[in-house]
Amino acid sequence: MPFTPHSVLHTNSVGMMARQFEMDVTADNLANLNTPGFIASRANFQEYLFDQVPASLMNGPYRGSAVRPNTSLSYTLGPMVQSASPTDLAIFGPGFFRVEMPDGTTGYTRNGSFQRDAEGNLVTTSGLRLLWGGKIPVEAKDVRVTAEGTVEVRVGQDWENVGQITMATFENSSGMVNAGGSTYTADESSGPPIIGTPNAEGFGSLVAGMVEQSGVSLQNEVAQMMLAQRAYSMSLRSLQTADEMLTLAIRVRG
Amino acid sequence: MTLNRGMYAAASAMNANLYRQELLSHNLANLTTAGFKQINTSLDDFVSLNINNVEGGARSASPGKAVGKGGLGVIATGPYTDFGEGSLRETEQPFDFSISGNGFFAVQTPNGVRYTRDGRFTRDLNGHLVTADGFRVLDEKSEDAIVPVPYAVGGGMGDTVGNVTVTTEGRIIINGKPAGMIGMFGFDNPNEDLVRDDNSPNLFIQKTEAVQANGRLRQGYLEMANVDPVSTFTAMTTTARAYEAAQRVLQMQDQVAGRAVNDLGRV
Repeated sequence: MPFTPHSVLHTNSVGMMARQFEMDVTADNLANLNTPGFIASRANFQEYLFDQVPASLMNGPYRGSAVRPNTSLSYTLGPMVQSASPTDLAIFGPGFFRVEMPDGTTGYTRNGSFQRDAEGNLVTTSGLRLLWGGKIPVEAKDVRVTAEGTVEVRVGQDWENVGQITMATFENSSGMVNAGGSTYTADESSGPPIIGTPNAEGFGSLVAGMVEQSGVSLQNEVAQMMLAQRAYSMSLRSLQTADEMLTLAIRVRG
Repeated sequence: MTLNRGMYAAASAMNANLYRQELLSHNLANLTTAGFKQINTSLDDFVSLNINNVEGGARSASPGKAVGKGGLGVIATGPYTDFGEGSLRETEQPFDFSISGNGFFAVQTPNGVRYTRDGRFTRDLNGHLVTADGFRVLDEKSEDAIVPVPYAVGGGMGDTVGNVTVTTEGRIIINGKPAGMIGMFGFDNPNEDLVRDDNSPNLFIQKTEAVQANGRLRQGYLEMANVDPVSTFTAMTTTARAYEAAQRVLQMQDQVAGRAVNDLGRV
């Protein structure tokens, strides 16, 4: 027989799963509409064929085909807003802060809304430690960070250099993996981190007292969600139609 | 023989329409696949026989007078790729490209050069412009297109379309300096000049030499699938009805055959 009924049903179900995947990506973007330093993800679909009909049965190979997805990170970043805290750091230009993930590996974030903890570390809003060379003395009253990432503190009268913040860039930052919140990890498609200091060639400069907002565009995501929802209904309807057709085939004899 | 002929004709119509339904489903599943070109099919007679008016019964030696042709059923032909242009969508991503008008991107795959309208590229670790599948994008001389500046520009998060600009002719400009080219290849009649690659269906294999492309390249835009939901749904409705009609015909043929077996046997 030229057809397996399974393939026409399968094509529609894969279409529906693709729309579900798209909805998941959009929902995650929307959930992070107000997460500082968040970078939106995008679902990219590719057409594919999972089976081929022998040429003797049908004049073409396009049976049982549908789509497969992957995701990539957007290059569009959020706007910068003023803040009162001197340990809120925004990166103007390329680069990520390096933070220690709960499992001990290194994560990368553009969320520079740091706070001092009791041990002299700078931690993100989700409690991840910034990886840098120094400590901030607990008794330090004032902290300032230069555009080049030098951290200076004032305990008494004089400013003292206590360390240097370094950053990471990637050959293909859109290939990084979303690790939740606004933290990303490197993999083979992003390439290994390239470490450097702020304001060096290829790295953005730091601006204290500013925070990068979420890069999610509300209107884009809502439009995307509506499209995915409509497309889901269409594939569902198509599945129902195919099912009705197959039911008719079964009922030929009564 | 005559009874079977009708049954096979009805069954072939059911098969052809189910196949059509499958292609429509495939097109719908790719509604958001950038650069996707929808696949169409049409239904054709597959064989027809001369019908002769045989005088003197079936055993007569006379060939009789031809009264016309009788079809033996339908087959789905094609499938044809509809190369109509999809709508453009602004993405603001520096490595998303679309072509308005005639032109295809060329990519190097393990099986040879392929052509596509899907402009979702990224810059790989060596500075090559690659597709989502990792195939290298070619320049106008069919050599690898390179975005040459290291991680400082383009590869680093924090850059916008402004740093790497690509002109409507495909010229890559980095910080004001020309840095390469994205090739655009023209095919005047894509339906005859290109065939789908079975291994990567959104890519096309050339059958004739490419000509000068006169399309305009746009950075930060993608060409969306050219699937029109309304016409797809209309086609789906007619397909389902045609299938139903064929099923009824098959049922009737079955009943006629039943009568022949049961009633004629009694005479």
